[in-house]
Amino acid sequence: MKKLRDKKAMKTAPEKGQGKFQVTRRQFFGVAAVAGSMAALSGCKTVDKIGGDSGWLPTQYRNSANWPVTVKGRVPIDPKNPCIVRRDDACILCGQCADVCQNIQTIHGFYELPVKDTFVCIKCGQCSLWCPTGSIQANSHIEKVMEAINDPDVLVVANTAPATRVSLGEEFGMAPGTWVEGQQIAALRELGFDVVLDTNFTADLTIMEEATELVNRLTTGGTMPMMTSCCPGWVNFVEMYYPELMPNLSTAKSPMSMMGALVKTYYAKKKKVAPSKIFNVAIMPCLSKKAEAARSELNAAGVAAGDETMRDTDAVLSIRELAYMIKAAGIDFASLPEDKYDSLMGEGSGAGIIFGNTGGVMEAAIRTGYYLVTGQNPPANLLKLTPVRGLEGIKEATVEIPGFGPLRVAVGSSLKSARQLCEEIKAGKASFDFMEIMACPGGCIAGGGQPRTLVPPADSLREARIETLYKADAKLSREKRLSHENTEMKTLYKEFLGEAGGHTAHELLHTHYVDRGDSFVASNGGEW
Amino acid sequence: MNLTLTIGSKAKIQMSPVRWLLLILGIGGLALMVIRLLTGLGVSSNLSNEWPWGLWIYLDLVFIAVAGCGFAINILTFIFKVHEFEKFARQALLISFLCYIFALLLLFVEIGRWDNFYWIFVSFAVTSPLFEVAMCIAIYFILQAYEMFNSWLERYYPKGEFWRPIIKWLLPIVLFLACIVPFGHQGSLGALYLAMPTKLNVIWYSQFLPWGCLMSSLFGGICFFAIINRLTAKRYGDECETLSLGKLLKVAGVIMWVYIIIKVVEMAFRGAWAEVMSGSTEGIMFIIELLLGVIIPAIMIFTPAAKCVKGQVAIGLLGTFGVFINRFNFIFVGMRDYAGVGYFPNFIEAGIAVGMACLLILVYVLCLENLPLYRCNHEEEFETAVLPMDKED
Amino acid sequence: MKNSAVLVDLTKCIGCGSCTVACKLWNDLEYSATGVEGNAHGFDAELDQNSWCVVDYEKVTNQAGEEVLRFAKHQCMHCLEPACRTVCFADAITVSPDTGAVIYNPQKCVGCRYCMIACPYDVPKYEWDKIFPSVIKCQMCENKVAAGEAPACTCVCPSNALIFGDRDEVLAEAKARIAADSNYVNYVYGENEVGGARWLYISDVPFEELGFPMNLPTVPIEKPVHNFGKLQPAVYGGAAVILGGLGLYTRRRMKIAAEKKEKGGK
Repeated sequence: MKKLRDKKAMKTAPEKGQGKFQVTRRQFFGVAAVAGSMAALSGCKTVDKIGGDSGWLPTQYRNSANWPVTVKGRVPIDPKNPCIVRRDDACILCGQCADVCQNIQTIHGFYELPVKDTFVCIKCGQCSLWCPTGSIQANSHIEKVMEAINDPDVLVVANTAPATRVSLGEEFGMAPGTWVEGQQIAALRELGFDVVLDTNFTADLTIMEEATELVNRLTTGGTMPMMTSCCPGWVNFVEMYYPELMPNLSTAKSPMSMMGALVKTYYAKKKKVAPSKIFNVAIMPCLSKKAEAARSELNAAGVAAGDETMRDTDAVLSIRELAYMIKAAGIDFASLPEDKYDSLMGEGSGAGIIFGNTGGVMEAAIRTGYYLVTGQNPPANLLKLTPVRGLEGIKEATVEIPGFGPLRVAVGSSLKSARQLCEEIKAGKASFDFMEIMACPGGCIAGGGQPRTLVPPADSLREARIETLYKADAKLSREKRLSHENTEMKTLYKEFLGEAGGHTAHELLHTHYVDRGDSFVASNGGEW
Repeated sequence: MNLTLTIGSKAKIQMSPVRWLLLILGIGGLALMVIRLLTGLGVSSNLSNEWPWGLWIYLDLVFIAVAGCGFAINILTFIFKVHEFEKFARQALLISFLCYIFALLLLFVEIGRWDNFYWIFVSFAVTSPLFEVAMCIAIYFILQAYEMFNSWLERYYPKGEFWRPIIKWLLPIVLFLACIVPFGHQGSLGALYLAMPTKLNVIWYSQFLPWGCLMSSLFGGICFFAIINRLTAKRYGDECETLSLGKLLKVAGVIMWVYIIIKVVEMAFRGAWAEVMSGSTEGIMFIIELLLGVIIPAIMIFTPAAKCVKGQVAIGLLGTFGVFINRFNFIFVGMRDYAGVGYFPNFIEAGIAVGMACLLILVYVLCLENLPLYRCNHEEEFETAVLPMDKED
Repeated sequence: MKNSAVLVDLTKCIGCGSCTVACKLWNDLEYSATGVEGNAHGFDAELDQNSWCVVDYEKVTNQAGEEVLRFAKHQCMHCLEPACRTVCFADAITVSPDTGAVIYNPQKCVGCRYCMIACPYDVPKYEWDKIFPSVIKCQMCENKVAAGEAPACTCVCPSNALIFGDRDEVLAEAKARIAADSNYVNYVYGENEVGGARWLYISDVPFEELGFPMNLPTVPIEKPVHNFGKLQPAVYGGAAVILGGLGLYTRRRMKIAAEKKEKGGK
């Protein structure tokens, strides 16, 4: 030790002679160690630092007490919700989900506390569309679908909803409202779907059944006004908030569920495939459809085949999920050739196309209703029913039908509008015979499963999508714009279903509703 | 294998295969200790949010309790001046000292922020029983170190220098303090669990818990000393200590009976016997603890068994077992119902404990063979230095 | 607010979990690597080093015998006389003079984990994966509250289930609510538990069904510990006097015996 020190002294001596001040490594570390330990011992570490308090909160929460700020917190989500899931680590408490749920859909805040035994949710999925960080997502069915696709024994059938073909392109950089029907079919085939059918086909079928029901109700004095039933969010809303209006709902299933029931019966029979070997995937602009597919009573094909556990619709993919699958598979969507739907259940009319926007179902139903009452196809002015078109929340119109008289109709989109109309009906003040409701503002083109957009989705974007649907309808020949003129559907009735509203049709195409009013206590909103 | 190692040219140790093994285990333990200190507790132990205290705390409590031998014999020799026990005094002190070192080492690996340990002495948070434990252990450790230092000086500077009067003057004060200080921390170790009224089983939870710990440290310490003394005697020769040891055990026996009576009455008073008799695991463990660990040795001590070597070993083992299982019961068994069964020490926890124990056994042997602590090894030094204050009196 | 408190009206909780997210945001906490997809979200989270505030979700039977869905927010109860502070031997846990909250100072912590084992609610958790770990628990947003704001969790509650205020006022509000509505269980949880807490709960279902420990004494945990601790000066003093006296007595007796022996020998 001593020797070492001497050596060092010898080494540093000449440098000192040169008049330079040199710090040896040993000195440096020595001083540092002493200084460090002194600092540590004397409490140089900030002793009064308290853990936490090191993050941030949006400024509306930087308040002195429980201030009544406009947007606060977020919506509750059942961990078992079939439609949506939430990742807490992406949530920033911006309040958008609560905003849409409370102010557009009138659910959040529209029930009494304490809650009963359920999370109050009509599963429209608007929160997932509005969530700016992607914290709320679709409950993904991708895995389920891929498993079926990879199973060689299974015939995977896809059917695409009307509104999917005007928005899927947005996921691939196309302008809002770009018509991508053909590319979508091609992409689905490339992904490994064996059969691609058109939900427009069953939309036409829905119109046939629903219009027949309307005419029946009008002529035989059934519960009026009649309400459409193709929107599952709306159906949930009625079951929960207005169970007394359930008889007003059309018993016709939604196009997706009709498709499910027919794919595993009619299509399976025609193609000689065992229903159990068919995996039916619905491509939807909607998240509520996931809940609809899971409804226990929607197993008509299963009942017919003797296996009640078989679902009519096995999986529902939102447009976002489909877009993800296409991207993950490395498919260049924009350059895909336009493909065509498979036959048998692949033909759709213009009336089916406009199902994708608010007012579309109404217009389609009037076209066919006119035919059912008068036996003639509707005049040109009924093919562009302007009063029921547009983004307005509530639209009313009166249609003169020869031999019947005026048919008064109302169209609502968003559940806030629906609530208003339902209150009118309940109060006996309804001035209409037929009412169409879409839970999402603007209809399916702004559904909870649509591609991510501005928050909230801009009117211009929704209008662009709607416009494309109307254009697609308008450019078809007159016959092609009418549901009852769908040739494949006519064959279906002739060969399989019999008459519209007939026995087989009832078994497969009609459903019933469940009173869920007991699961919570509704309120008219306001402070909790 | 059997070579003699010299340390600093003064201390010698004769190595044997067993001692080599102890050394290797000890070095292994030190290595694991470094690993523990450089990694988190999550990596190096099986402790969890449910079981924040485990093997280390248990061994701390047990070994500080059996270190009560130094405390007990110190009182007997210094306060009551029982000459017969004076020959045990230094050996008991060594055992006690090493037990405290063991506990302190384990405590150091046990605390998560070992870099912050000095805050205990800076903050002065007197409300905590753990504060009293820490302070008293620190003070007692210094007192014992002083006593050990005295033996070391006697061995290596027997002629005495200028410091000798100072050491001599201070020693009675140190010995007296060493009789007082453990009264606090032996009890406080039990008082740690007074903070868990809703978690600790009713059999053990009572205001008597700390006092029970204090008493059991006295008789448990003596029993532990009996085993170590018998083992040492077997190795280095027995200088007719059997009779004295029997008498020492009788002191433990008396404390045991007092303990048993208080415990039984106190439990009856609280109605805790119903829980014992319910046949639960806790009840069975308590019966084992009281019967095997206290009552049987307390009976044996007052039979001729206490006068023979085998009997003394048996009593020593049972009494030590009594302390071990008592602490085991209120640290693990009594908390089991609340925290659930989910803790078992992993190999680092156990390895550090075993390694440190091995190292301290070596230190024990080294001290015994070099310092005037055990009568047979240092006949001549012992003659002059039974206990320095005796010369003064 | 010197005597701050929060009232949790469990009947008002909708289970949105905003409070848990606010806690994470304000305290800059990570999401624990357990649970779904490597992250403990929503109801999967349990109190741990990264989750200071969690909401449990349970189907319970209410007083009317119906099965209902209830959510229970759990975090540090901020006892008036906290057990963790009593047992901390490094003074790392203190009661804030500004807010009354029980706050932890990681700089002083030695890591003995006594607070974890002493807490009757099992709130303090440990950073087991760190080399120099800290004990972790809710600090009741000490700095935020001291600056005149409410704790993060109470600021974000959309259904006003969390009410922040002076403890006396909040307690009066709790009792007023119970008195006004017979659906409530007639009990304010936290009013007297181990000496009282700053988080008070009212509910329409029995608290034991929501996982609240119901066997807690009304006296603070400090009490039994202090009962022993306050004897300590007497123990030391007594031991010193008695043992000192005995030692002197023994010595004197021996001296007399020796003198006698000497005399007798002569």
